[in-house]
This record gives sequence, structure tokens and C-alpha cells, in this order.
Amino acid sequence: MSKFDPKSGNFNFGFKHMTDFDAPLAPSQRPSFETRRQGDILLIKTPRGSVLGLHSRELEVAQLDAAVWNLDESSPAAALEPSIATEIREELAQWQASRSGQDAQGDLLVRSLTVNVAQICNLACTYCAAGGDGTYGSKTKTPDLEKTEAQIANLLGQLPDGESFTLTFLGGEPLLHPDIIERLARHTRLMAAGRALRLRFDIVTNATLVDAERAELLAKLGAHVTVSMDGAPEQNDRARITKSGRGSSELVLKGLAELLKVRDRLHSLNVGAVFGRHNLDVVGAWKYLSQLPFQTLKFDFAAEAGDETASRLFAEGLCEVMELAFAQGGEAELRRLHVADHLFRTLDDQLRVRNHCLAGKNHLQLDTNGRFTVCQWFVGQRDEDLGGQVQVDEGERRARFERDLVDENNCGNCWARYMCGGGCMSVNKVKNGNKHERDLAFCDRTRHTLLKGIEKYVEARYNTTLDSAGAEREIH
Amino acid sequence: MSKLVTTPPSIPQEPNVKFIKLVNKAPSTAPAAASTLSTSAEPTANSAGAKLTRRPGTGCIPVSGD
Repeated sequence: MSKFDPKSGNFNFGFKHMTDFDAPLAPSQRPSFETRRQGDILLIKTPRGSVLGLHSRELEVAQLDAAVWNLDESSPAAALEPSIATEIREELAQWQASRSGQDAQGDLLVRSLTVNVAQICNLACTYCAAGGDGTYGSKTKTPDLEKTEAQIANLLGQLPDGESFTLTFLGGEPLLHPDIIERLARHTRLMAAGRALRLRFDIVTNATLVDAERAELLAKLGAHVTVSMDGAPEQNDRARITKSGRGSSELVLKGLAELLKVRDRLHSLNVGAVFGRHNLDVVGAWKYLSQLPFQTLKFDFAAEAGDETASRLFAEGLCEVMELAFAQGGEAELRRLHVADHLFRTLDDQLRVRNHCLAGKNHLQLDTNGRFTVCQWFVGQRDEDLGGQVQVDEGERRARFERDLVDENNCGNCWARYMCGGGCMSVNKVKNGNKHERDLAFCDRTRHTLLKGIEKYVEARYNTTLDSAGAEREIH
Repeated sequence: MSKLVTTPPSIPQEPNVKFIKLVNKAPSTAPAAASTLSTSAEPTANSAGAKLTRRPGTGCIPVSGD
């Protein structure tokens, strides 16, 4: 972790140890996982030769005797004694029948709303959901606040006590209008006053406008702050540029310095990095961003037509990052990566993920024209519009979004479905023109990443248990 | 051919389980550091003991949802 000097406003990165990292392998040289299916059970042979198992329906993970892999009669190493093979088949059948995973209750309460505070931006990032200028093609730069307040009040009114509600400020660049953020947050708190509702405020910002005043506003909200940054300055400045074409990194780091002065009053400080054909140096981005004092690192891939090769390279880079993070700091460092933390929580709780996100189910998006969609990627798309009244058309929402994505997107018996949640509707639409037609590149990179995550999960859990048990044992 | 798992196991197993060592088990059904093949467990809460609501995947909406 870097050290920040609030007086100078500079970071001391301490890069020395980073030269210890191995040079990344070229894609064709990378060892890969082998997999076989036995009903609901996925047998995994890792590049290191370990044999693991995943019960894809129950989300159970196991270490397997190497003999289980050799049960496959097509394997040249298959020379199992018949009695051993019978025993293995019986154990697999017993595991296949296992029942411990669970589906959570799937209501349609809106617990999360994203508001476009400003549909305009001071940057012009090449892959932006809002069209590069932050406007989504709309001339309306800021929302009608009286209407927005009524829409928020209506959603809060539908939540029973004991529930939670997250208000996320998005743009464009939301910190162009801190006054709107302050007013909507104050209104939301007022509407929730006296009720047993847990409020949470999130913001996604490019951080270039963060000064002492804006940092103090976010601190007063106890906000979860996600800073958008794609890696080291030379990497970040390729796509995250000002309208005059200059890189934004210097401004981002200044803003970050202001946020660090109030860090103890922020709920969390995270970074979101976007990769794609324009940026595939996942390892380089991690080496830089992991040195900054971010709690969580969220690495996303910007889908576009013809991105299959880039998608696989991104996945391979992410897998390499998982190796490096685990080697550097064990489970804690690994779980700074959002994708790894999510997988670990899913496997720990064995709670099936049936939706890649909760768009349309427990989450809605509001644009500056006061119109609802289910996520920011659908803003301005007429066929995704859910109306612009104070109250959302619940019948329409239920009809279009009630079904879980693993079912709606026909995931079938894909072994990854309950960890992935059926894929991204926006990615599907970008790639196939249909938000429920799966993007196979998305599926490929998801499965690739999950295999690495499962391997790390076993290593982490095994080592943890070993430490607490204090001794090794063998199966006889 | 060896019967040993690739990495030595450390979680107590049922005596009749030789080849499959479970690494995880829903917390409400298994004591810490113990895991066996179970066929009937029906856990009712997650590790935090919180009410179960839909859990999102790693979608880009920056909200945990739970």
C-alpha cells in the first residue's frame, strides 16, 4: 500500500518490491485448466495438476483424489482397479445428490436507485456509457429536483421498515453538481427520518473535480466512493481524457489526495477500471492501482463487436492478477479484487446468484429527464424506457424483469450459472441486439475467471484450515 | 496409483468418504472447520445471519444489494 503525505499531497509508492513479479506469459504459453462434467459436478484439473470439484448446483467445492480424474475411461491414465472405480462412482453419486445450496427470496422491492445528477461531463472517455460527453444524447443536463424528490419519496414509501435503500449519484460527472447531491441526500434522509430504514449513499466519480469542499460533502454523507481510473497515468490517459484531449491522471490523483484527507469518514474508497480492446494491460493496471489506498478494485470489460480475442486476453490478465495478489497478500489481498471477493462470498454462503445484477428487480435508474430505466446503460433507449411518472409502472416492470436472468437468458445447466447470474443484459444487447441472448465472449471470460477463482478459494481455505488445525492429515 | 488427495486434507471427513474432501459448507449447517458430504441440509441464513434477499453477481451497478 502506498503512503500518502497530506502536507505535500504526494504519494510514496514504494515500487521496489514490484520488480519481483514474474513477467507475464504470452497467451499461447499460459497453462490452462482442464474440465470434465459428471452431472452437476465439474471436475477441474488445474495447471498445477491438482484435481478439484465443483457441485455447480449446490456451490460446493472439493479437493479430489487424483484418481477421480482418472475415472474417465478415455483418459490414458485410466487404470483404476474396478473396486476403486466403484467407490469413486458411489461417492460422486452421493455428492451429486447433495442439497445445501439455496435460493434467496426474490421480491421486487426497489432497494437501490441511481440518479444521474448531471448528464454532462468534464471528461470525454472513449467507452463511456453516457456517450463520451456525458449527455446520453440528451439536452437536459440536470434533473428537475422536485420531481426527483417525489420519485425518491415514492420508492422509500414502498419499503417496509427494516429495509435498506441505496442512492447512487452518477453522471456524466456527478461532482459537477455537488449542490444537487447535497439536496437529494438531505431529502432522502428527511423522508427516511423516524423510520427503520438503512440508507446508503454511493457515488461514481472521475475524481478530477474533488476539492476540499466536495470531499467534505462526501464525508458528511459517509459515502461509498468509487473513483474511475484505468491504471497508471500512461495507461489511464489513453481513454480517460479531457475534452481538449489531455490525460486526466494528474487531476485524478489531486482529487484522490483530497479524498484521503477525509478517508476515515468515507464508508469506502474504491476504484473502477475499464478494460477492452483499448486497454488490455490488466496486470499493469493492478500493479499500479493496488498500491493506491483503495479498498476494492473493480475491473470491468467494455464489450464491443468483435471483442472475442480481447475478452480472452482480459480474462487471462485477470487470472494472472489473481495469482499475483494471492502470492503477495493471501486471501485479503486477493479479495480486494471485487470479482474474487464476490466468488468467495458466494462459495462461503452457498447462496445461488441467479442474476448478474439486480437491474429491474431491486434496482432502477433515473435520468435527467426524470425517466426510469433499469440501468445506466439503457438510459435514452426508447425500448428500455419504464416511464417518467412519479410512480413506476409496476405491471410493466414485473412483466419484463421479474424472471431471474439465469432462466431468462437460457443458461441451462452451465456449471458457472449460479456464480455468474446469467450475464449482463447490456452486453448481450451490444453484442447480439437482444438483451436476453447470451454473449458467448462474456460466458468464456466469466468461466475462465471463475476457474482461477475456485482454485484460489481452495488454496485459501485449505491453508486457513491447516493453520488452525496445526497438522496435516491424509485420506486413507 | 495413490489414493492421496493432491493436497493433504485437514477437515474431518466421514469415515466412508475417501476421494472427495469438501472445502466449503454453508455456515448454518456445518460447524467451523468441519465438513462432510451431506444430503439433506437446508440452511436458512447466510454467514452474516442476515435476511436472504436476491444476491447480485458482479454486474457493474455499484451496489451490493445485500
